[in-house]
Amino acid sequence: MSSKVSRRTFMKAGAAAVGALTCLRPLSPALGANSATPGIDYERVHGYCPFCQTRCTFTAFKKNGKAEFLVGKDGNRWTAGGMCPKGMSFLELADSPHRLTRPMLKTASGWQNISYDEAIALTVEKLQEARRRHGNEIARHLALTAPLWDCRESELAALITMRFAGCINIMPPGEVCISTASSTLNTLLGSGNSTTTVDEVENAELLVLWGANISETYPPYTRWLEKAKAKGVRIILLDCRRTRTSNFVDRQLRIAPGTDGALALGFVNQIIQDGSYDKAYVAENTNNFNALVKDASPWTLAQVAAATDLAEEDIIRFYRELMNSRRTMMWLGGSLSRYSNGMATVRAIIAMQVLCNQIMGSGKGLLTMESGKPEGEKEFVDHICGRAPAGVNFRRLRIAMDRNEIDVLFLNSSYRRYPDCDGLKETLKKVNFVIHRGFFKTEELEVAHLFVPATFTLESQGSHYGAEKQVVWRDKCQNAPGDCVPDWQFYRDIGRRLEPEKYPRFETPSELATLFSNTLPDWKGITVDRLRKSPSGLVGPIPAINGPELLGCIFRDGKFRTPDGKFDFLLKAVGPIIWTPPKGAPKDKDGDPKNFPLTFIQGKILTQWQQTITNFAASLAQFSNGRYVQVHPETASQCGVKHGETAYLVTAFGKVEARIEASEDITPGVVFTPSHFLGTSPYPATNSPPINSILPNYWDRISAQFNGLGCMLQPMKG
Amino acid sequence: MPRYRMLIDSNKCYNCGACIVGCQQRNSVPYGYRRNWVRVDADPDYGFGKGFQPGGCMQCDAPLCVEACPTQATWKGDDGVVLIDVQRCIGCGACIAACPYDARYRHPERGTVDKCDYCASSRHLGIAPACVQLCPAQVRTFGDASDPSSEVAQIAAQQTLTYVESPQSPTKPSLAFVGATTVTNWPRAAALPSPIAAMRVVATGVRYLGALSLFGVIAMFFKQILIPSDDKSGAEIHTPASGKGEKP
Ligand code: SF4
Repeated sequence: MSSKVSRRTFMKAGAAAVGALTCLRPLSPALGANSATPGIDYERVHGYCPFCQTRCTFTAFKKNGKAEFLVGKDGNRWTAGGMCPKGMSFLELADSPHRLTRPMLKTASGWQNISYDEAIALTVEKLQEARRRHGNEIARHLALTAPLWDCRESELAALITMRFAGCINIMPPGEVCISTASSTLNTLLGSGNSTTTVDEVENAELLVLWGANISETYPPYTRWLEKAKAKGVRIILLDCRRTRTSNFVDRQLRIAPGTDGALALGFVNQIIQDGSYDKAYVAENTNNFNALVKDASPWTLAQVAAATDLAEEDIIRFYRELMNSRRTMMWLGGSLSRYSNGMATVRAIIAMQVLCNQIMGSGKGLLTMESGKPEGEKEFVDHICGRAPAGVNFRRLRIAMDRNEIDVLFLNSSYRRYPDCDGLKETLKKVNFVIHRGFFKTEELEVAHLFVPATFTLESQGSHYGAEKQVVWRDKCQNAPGDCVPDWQFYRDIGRRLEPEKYPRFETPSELATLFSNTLPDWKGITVDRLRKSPSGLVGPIPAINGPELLGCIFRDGKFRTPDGKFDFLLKAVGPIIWTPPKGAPKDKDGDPKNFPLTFIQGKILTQWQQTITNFAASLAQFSNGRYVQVHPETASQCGVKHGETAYLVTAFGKVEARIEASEDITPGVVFTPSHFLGTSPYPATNSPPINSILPNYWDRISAQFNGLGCMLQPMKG
Repeated sequence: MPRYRMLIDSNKCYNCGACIVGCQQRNSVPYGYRRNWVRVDADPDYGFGKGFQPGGCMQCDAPLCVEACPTQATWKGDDGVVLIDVQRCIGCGACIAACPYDARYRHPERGTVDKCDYCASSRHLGIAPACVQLCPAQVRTFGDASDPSSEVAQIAAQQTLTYVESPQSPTKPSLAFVGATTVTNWPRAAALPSPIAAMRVVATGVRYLGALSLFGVIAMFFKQILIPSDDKSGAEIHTPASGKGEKP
């Protein structure tokens, strides 16, 4: 068969084609534009960032089985859809070429891959062996360090497994930083969380950011500073460093590090002396006022000025602003807890608020980002496993490890978060069997016997909680690579083998969460279904199905949550509020001002989270340039070091190399360095020996605290 | 057709970098390369002593990048966005040099130029550009400026806008800052390497020659219709089914 085309037809068709091409030409750029496949839809999966207590929620846009990008949830009343770069780094970390994805056992010839089942069997065998060896004394020989990098259900699964294994030594995640504030609040007020929700800042007259570097450490919460300002709230920041937060406040007092307690006690003393505190309120709602009178009496204006390095007129102005404010909120920064005197500081600040009747009611109270854990976890675990005594803290655990008393340690996260981490490494080597749950090659592998890879947030469902005590939910978005398993699965699989009859039956976190909310009366209304629908999460407690969330002040009946409903200025177990400089500070009795005249502080920076995961993210390394120390130009010059050059940061316990960042953003005599670096990061921008290798094993009564230590900067040569 | 526009309230920015990472992830921009940025300038008016100015392609109404492109791979669309056709882009870098804001970069894997297009690839999903959506400070407002009820149109109507523009190479940016911003004259003078400038002349010549040939073909076509050149013009051309044609 042949087709026939006339020449005229051919000409016509040709002309039509040319015409069509000519017409189409202007449109062609639009067709070939720099766009990904328009029209392709994505599956949308709910999630949250597991890092800070802001607990941003997001929707992951998923294609071909993987999240491609994240979109913050606009409906989140706390964050309005914002996130910080740390939370976004999960997209990259999940696919990281550096990720370890197989369980590994340390052998005489090095690390060898084993299967997940073998890893579980070996762990169970070690736990059973320890039980056989120690019988009823088993509790003294097992331990677990938190945090788990996963969800609340993982914590529950791990706690239940540990109880069944006979372990009660659970190291809380905040034990190296912020436990002090949370524990002090809990002891004094009956709740270890904020006394109100952050939206109440709009109703205050005065907001004091007491060492709370909100914009740097909890970026999306900066919006609450802006909202407060828009309502005419006056904001005062107390911090020795100028930071991003400084842009959102009316005034900043650059107080010497670790001296906040002296400033607070000075105020207490002043209002007691001039009688301007709320006498009726104090008489009715507090105990042991006279103890406070005694504790505060040494703190005259001159004493406060000498301790804090603040000018007397600045102190007077600050005190006057506090006295004139009818509604004051104090935002307690994590930094307050990071000095060995943190407990005295937090107690003194709480006392200030109580004396002025500034704890209960709208626009009043205390905020902290350092907790948020809703109550009920212990009751739930007790309900399943039976009651158990409290375990030891890490300070005591370390002593036990040194004495070769620990048989099995579950090392979640990093040991480098504890001070004197090089010494601690040697201690950890005395533990018979260390199981490390992690993601990357870190220093933990040097002390671990077994490594079992964990999952990132997109790879498993589960709930978590944030600073407002809000519980949030995520669904599983993508499969984890290799043999990576979530913590709830890892600990459940061990627990099931230890106690097959008693271990709760659940195949997913959703089932465990449902069991939890069905067990605890205050959680009845916090169902998985309702959580899934809530972009902000649900603020507990919610005792009734479909019951309302209760925002604002937690003291709804006007009473403190203490046994007698009153606030006690005298903490009998701890003693009076005695403020002294941080241990090892140049002005402390243990300090060495001659050799270490500068004050050391370390902390988080915006683009990194602690000493582990985020150091492996290229998306975050692009904002870094290696370890640095921030120091005032005068101080740099006194030490003989120059801006931009590398020098030694030296303490009595060791030294690390750091680039000098000379800046007037820090007060003279103070040295700041970020806490996040680690020695095995693949990126030079985030690779440095851990800072805790040059910090001493100092503790307050609750947690390890070492900021304020004396230090020195030394030129590399000479 | 909508006319997209972005307005930025730089006073709210605290340089957290969410806009940068969010954009990189949404648009497959390799880490270390950027479609957008945050400028940091010393400014005593701020408590931190520094002010921040987020930015990105200014989607200019007189874009020098468009003028500079030898292959017409970039143009200002009717929707207000300056776009790139990656099929046409030869990665010569002329537009990169021409942009006073350094808003363009050469993609290291593709070899073609890339820049902010207000997240055109995900607009059909009904979500705002990544830098707008993820910003924890809600610094940026984005929308259809031709719709008077849109937030972006209302801000533009009610507030004073500040434009950041190169004094030597003005480009009529459409992106504007709400109220005052830190520094307004930082964009540099546009530059164009001479081989590329020469290439533009050659490319223009080639385009004219092409247009001339097209005109010839069309003229021949009309001539054939009106005055057929020979009486065999109606003869059939036999095309075998195999597809192998015979010469007429
Ligand atoms: S602010 Fe906190 S919760 Fe939000 S993305 Fe950053 S680290 Fe995650």
